[in-house]
Amino acid sequence: MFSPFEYKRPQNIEEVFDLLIENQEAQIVAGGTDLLVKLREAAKSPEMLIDIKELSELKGIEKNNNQIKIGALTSITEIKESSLIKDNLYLLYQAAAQFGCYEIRNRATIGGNVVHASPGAEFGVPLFALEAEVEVIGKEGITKYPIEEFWYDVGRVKLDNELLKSINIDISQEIKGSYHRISRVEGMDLAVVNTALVKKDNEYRTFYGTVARTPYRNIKVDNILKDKPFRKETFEEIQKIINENVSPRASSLRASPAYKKEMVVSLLKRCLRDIGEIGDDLDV
Amino acid sequence: MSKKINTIINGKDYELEVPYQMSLLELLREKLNLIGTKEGCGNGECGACTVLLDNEPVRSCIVLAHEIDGKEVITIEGVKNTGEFQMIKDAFIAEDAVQCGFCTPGFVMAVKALLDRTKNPTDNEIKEALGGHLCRCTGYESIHKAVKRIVR
Repeated sequence: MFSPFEYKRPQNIEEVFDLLIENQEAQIVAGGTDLLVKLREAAKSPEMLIDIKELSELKGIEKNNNQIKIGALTSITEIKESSLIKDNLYLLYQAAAQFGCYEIRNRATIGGNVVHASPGAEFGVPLFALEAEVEVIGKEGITKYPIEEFWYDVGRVKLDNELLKSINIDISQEIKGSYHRISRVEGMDLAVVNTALVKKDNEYRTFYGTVARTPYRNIKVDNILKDKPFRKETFEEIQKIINENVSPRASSLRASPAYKKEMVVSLLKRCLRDIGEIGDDLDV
Repeated sequence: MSKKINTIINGKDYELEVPYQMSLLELLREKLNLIGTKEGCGNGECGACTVLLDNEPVRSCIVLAHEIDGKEVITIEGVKNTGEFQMIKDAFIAEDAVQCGFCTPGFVMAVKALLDRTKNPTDNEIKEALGGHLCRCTGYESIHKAVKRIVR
């Protein structure tokens, strides 16, 4: 058994805000795939769980003009199977396909993945690279943040008696993108490290996961990518910048700092191969 | 703190007084004595506790018992007298896909759910369906072969 708590399943979003305001120790639960593990490990012991998984207004993927909106309660399976995502935001399809396992993808939600703000979260680096906008809803209405502002530290996001409503991504420009990760096993695991790349026109945004407290970008790296062609020396230079600027924690159970630093650059090459920037034959 | 829930488990209606903090797995094993469902890791990582919730496989150790209020659950006990189970069982035996058997109920539920979604799963679909299930005896190859034996 988990440690005791009260359990509420509100039927509308207004009720959720009232419960949150009245119960400061309440915790929102959706898919529960992260939270219930934390409860079991007693890393969290809320007095109340507010189950929001049936709030239909937070579900689904839609396209309005040049924006794709992913509702916070959209399951990872729905993202993986959405043609809107696969056609426009392929890197999110890649992240969904590598996420957990079949059973977990069915229950876990993109909103849960974002608000838990874990350093290696599957949707961390791709959403940062896409400059996603986060829509938050509370009693006072809707607030929008760039994801980099919303997700500001390990396990910390800007929510104050509010719910994450949707994740919005601008697709007015053509997006080339890719996501890769390394995990110990393929079937069901968390990322040891992960990397996402987005290219619009000739602008690159690359983000690296688990090497810092939040998805990490170094503008110098992205500027080097702009000055093609890619040679062995290009990546040696990128590796040097990464080595000098990040210091992954040595206490990680999954990998050493040295391994992580080298692997994120290796994943960057995979991302560049994916979008056709470097050929399979090129030895970099 | 507890509350009543209404649910259908293996085709039978139940009205149960359930503590909020009880997991679905605990409800099945400890309250209803449906001990065919196993607890492995207790963290949703191993798949041993897989049951069907409204026909979709879930990890019952990370589902609250209260989450099945108004829904339907099928456990290994609910399938063991079906022709589908006989088919899965025969294939597992033929391919030596069972050794200690602890993970088997979870695998069987995942295979049943896979066959319910698609009669002719591809190799990749089989791997995807079973990818989150751990088996420390057989090394997976025989389990994969067992499923292929059913679909070929």
